[in-house]
Amino acid sequence: MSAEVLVFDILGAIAVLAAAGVVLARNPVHSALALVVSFVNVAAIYVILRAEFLAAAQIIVYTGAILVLVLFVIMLVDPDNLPEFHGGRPVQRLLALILGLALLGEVMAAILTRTIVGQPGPWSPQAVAAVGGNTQALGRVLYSGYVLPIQVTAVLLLAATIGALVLARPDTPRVRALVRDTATISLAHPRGSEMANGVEPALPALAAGQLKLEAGERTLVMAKSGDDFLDQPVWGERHQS
Amino acid sequence: MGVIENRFEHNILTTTVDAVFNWARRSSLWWLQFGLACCAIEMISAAMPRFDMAERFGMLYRASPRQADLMIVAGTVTKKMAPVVRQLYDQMADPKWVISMGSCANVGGPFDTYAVVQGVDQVIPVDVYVPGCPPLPEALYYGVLELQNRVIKYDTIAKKQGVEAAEADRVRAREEAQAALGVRR
Amino acid sequence: MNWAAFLSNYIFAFIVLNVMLGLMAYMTYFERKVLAAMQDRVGPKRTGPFGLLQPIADGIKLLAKEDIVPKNADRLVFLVAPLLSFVLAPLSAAVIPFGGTVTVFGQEVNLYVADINVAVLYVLALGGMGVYGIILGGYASANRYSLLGALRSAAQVISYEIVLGLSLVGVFILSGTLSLVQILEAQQQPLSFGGVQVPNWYILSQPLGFVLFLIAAVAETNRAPFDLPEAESELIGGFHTEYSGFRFSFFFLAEYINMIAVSLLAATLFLGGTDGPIADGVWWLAAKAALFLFFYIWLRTTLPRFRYDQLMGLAWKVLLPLALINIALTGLIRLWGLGLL
Repeated sequence: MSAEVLVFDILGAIAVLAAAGVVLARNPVHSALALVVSFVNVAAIYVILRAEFLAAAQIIVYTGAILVLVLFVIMLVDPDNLPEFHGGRPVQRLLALILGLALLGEVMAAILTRTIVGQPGPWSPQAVAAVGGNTQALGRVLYSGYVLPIQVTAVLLLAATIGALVLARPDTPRVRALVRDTATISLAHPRGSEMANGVEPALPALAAGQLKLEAGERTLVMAKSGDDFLDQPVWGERHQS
Repeated sequence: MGVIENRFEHNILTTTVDAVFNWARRSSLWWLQFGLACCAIEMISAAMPRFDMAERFGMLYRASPRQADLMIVAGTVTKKMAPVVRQLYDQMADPKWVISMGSCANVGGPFDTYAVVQGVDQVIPVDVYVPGCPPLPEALYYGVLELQNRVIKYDTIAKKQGVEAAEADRVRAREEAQAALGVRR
Repeated sequence: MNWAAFLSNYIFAFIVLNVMLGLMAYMTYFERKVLAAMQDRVGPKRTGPFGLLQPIADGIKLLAKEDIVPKNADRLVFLVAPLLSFVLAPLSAAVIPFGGTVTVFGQEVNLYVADINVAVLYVLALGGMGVYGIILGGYASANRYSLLGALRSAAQVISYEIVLGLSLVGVFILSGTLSLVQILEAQQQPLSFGGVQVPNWYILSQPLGFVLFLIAAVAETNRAPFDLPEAESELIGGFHTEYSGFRFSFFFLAEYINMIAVSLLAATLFLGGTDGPIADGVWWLAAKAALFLFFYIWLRTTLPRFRYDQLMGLAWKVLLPLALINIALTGLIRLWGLGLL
């Protein structure tokens, strides 16, 4: 048994056990973690098969992005609102077991008899090495023969991003305007509900010779900038009327 | 107590290890920044460049009680704040020490009112009391150096006679310090 | 199997790992001293001569602390999260070339642990996996503020990862390869710049990419001014609030190792790595990496923290378009240079 086969056996065994863990774990976060382990092992198997770019892409995209998204969702959702993962009546479980075993049997039959084999394509290992590695070979094929599918995929992802942005916006135009107007203020408070309705708050008037209002009479002015205060004298200055 | 400490019998090897632990514990006291009132300003100024308490002795301030060894209670402890002080003290990991800074934390200070706890030692056990209103940064420094001596003493006794003797000595030192504060109303 | 080559490679990897771990501990000392110098005070001074034993004292003290696991915490994940952060951090140094090939005792030793032809993608993949340490740390603490801090930090890291990757595409276009050893060789070629011969360091041909990489790297490693998720005044400590003792030090030190790995990467990708005016060697790489580390600490001392929405806005609305423009410009210039325009 060569080292390669031994390593493949170990990685494959861990991947399968982790996949079993995904289904059997009680806690959804443990499930997601088991899936991470499974994906990392699959990426390692890709490396054995000399598809390094695919391995790196598997980790960056699958574990680094998709599963992070899954974890975010699981962690932010109230545990009571998560669907029931381990329910199911005995009839359902029996049916699932039978169908699963049938699928397993079909796949094993296909693998063991080796009748389902594709045709080798033009990219033999010598051809790949001639262009400098499998990243370069992949790049050549993707951006010459398959440019249209790439552009279509990009447009699809853009549509999904725009959809997400639209779904996350606040509902009414008034709230949107408020968010827009107040989002850039860091320390000051928003102008208050009166400004949002288009009403300017009246700045208080002072009697002659008075420096500032009596304590009980002062109204609170929500100010966005220092200019709002210019009508009131600074403490200590005499009021010029 | 620790992950690996006190798990072995006292022998030649562990005495050296314990000595190293002692040195490490007093050279790297991480304090919990717990400023409540005006004494906090003096504590902050002790951490500023002129006195540099935060770095010179290897002390770092941490915000999370779980990562701190030393709690400097700086300021007035009100009755509303007392359960919070207790909770933070409980959340700290052993081994932990407490310095009570300023008159309010020592004995309630000038505030003998319905809302002020007359000394933080009513709530948590205090090792070193630093008097002053507020104490000068130099006074806080003296308190911290005194605490380092306590740490050395604690670890030395723990090494020679076991942890229980060290704890007993520490409790005795705390009670002496508390008695030295005098009668409080 | 070529056992001699395997063994020599293994010994080199062992040396690299230990040097990284030693550097990480003294990086904390370096940071405290430089921070102190910039803030007009002295750093640790009493612990050993010039305070040099400070990191060791910190480490030993953290070992001796009580091991607290919160009652409601998910115990397995609580234990695994800091390990994940700490283990993934030095792995990025496995592809950094510390030189070419030397002959030791008649055996050819490569001065890099591995030369994989997707080396930079490997580093980016490790960065992506490093997010898990943070998320799991926050989740396992059974503390809702830790969870929020962890999720914020994760969102920050994945946003800036995109910018990091895209800022490097310009370098890939110019060098034609993803392998760090080959990028290093490409930078050792001379570049004729209006009559002056300069080395082909990519900081000269990719200034915008360099700036974007630097900003994204600071944000990736959760360092100031992008350290909102773990800042003390925000959410107490973010994802590492509930960790004490040595588990906390795993998170703490993982951050420093990440900094060192990213500095080494920046030195190799943009500043030519071991290339120098006289006597190429690992000392030049060390000097350049030290320059980046100093820059990291300088940023921490000088700049206030970004607010979270400003941080995310910066990544998506400013840095990402700039990275795309950089790619487009580099592509155009390359095509023009190749005469294909």
